[in-house]
Amino acid sequence: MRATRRDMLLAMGAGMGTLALPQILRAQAAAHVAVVGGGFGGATAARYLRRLNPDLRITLVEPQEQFVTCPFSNLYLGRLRDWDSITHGFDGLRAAGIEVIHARAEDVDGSARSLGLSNGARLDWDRLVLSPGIDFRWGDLAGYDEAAAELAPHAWKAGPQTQLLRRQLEAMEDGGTFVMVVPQGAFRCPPGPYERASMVAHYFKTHKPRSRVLILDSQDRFAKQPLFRQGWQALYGEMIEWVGQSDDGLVVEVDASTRTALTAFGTRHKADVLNVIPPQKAGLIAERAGVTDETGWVPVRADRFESVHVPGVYVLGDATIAAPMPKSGFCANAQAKVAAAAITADLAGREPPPASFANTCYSLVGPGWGISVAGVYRAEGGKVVEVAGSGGVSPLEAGPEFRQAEADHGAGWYASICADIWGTA
Amino acid sequence: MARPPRIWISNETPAPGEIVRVRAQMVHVMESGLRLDASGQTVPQDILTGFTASLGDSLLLEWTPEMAISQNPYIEFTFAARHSGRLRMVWTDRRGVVAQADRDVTVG
Repeated sequence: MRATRRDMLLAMGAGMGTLALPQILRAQAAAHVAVVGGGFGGATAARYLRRLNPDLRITLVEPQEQFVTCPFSNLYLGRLRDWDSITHGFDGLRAAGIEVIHARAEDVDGSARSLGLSNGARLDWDRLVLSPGIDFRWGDLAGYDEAAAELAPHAWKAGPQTQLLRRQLEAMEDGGTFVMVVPQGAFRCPPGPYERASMVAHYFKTHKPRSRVLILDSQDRFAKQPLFRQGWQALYGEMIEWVGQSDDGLVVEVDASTRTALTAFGTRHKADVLNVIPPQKAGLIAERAGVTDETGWVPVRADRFESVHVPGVYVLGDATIAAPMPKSGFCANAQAKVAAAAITADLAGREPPPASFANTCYSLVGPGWGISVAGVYRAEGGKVVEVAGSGGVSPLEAGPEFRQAEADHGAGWYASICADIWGTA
Repeated sequence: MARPPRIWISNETPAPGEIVRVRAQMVHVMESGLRLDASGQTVPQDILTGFTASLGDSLLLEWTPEMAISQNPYIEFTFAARHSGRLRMVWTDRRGVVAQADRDVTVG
């Protein structure tokens, strides 16, 4: 068995008698938790660990000095939000007593309990939290690699890609076609593609009304489908066309240089702006830490979000296998709070408190037209289960006041969760 | 029958031994028999139970769709084109043949 710092101190304490006890307690209380990823999961975990036990030493590792959220980045594409309003710094977390290091996490040693960083530093940790988000399976979709993404942006990690896509939309002539490719397999933010289509349609309606939106989908159904279709019809008429998998919507190859998408049954769609959302997997550091399985995602113990493969490593958010919870920022935030409570309890030698999670995904179909899906979840038999009778989607039969209220709730949700996580408005 | 199966074949005139890729999609409800309708009655099972692909007399592929297969089953497979012949795909349910699609493959 590996001698932990605690074992050593206990041994020393035993040798030195009871006088050493206060020292032992302080050493235990000053356990170090390293958190990788400054997004919805990681930044929440850092803040709540700090809040639950102010004596913990907490280090947050995040390469970017500012974090741009995927939630509400579609509104930036629709010109309903500016860039600054979806960009969050880390001063709030520093002010809360968290050490923030801007470097990339490069490797994890689960048995030595250390973390290697791109700046050459190595951090020893007592518990590790990974909230790495997603990475792309480059090459899974023929013709789509990192170079192709510079011509046909994915914009599925908010940042320069999102700005590139908006510039392309702005440069497009009226009468053009925006084509979006929706991937196979689990992907971040299930309603995201359809909100994006809505926001692009809003931009077209207000600036380029002869243009159209074409969604080529690998699925036959999508999140909040009846609500989206109702909103599209009401706000944009025939501007948005959705082609499901059964109608030859599955794209098997793209040519970024000609902005062409080729479907499984041989239809070529030529785009003026081509947005390819690629197939996805857990962020790379999860793979390097040995916590992913053959699916490329991370199985976790549902009651604490600790890896089933590597004890002491907790994984949050989009990287995890947490279905029926969707891959959403709200879920990552809820999972982070559960993990923070479990880690705090574990370090104190106690069982974690019962896990409970909630989620709401708001989508904006147009200005003043919001829709949502919500759910409440708990851990049962090692799995996440939805609480029967909880949540649901917005009613299909609702008037403009209801849609306006949900749009307002969405904006309110965004403001409050950003304040909760980064301490920003 | 709603609409004929959708078929795509990578090359109908392949070189000898060339790997040919086939994609086929059949419109079908694939009702599992486990769902209840609004009045609480079980919705009767209605699923495809068989799919075969053959080239002339050679059986290429046999597949038994089960009740967990989703609506509008989509299948993709490859074969080595060793001889010319009619590529025939047949979908069946418990009552017999539901749909059939043919493509001529000429190995040159």
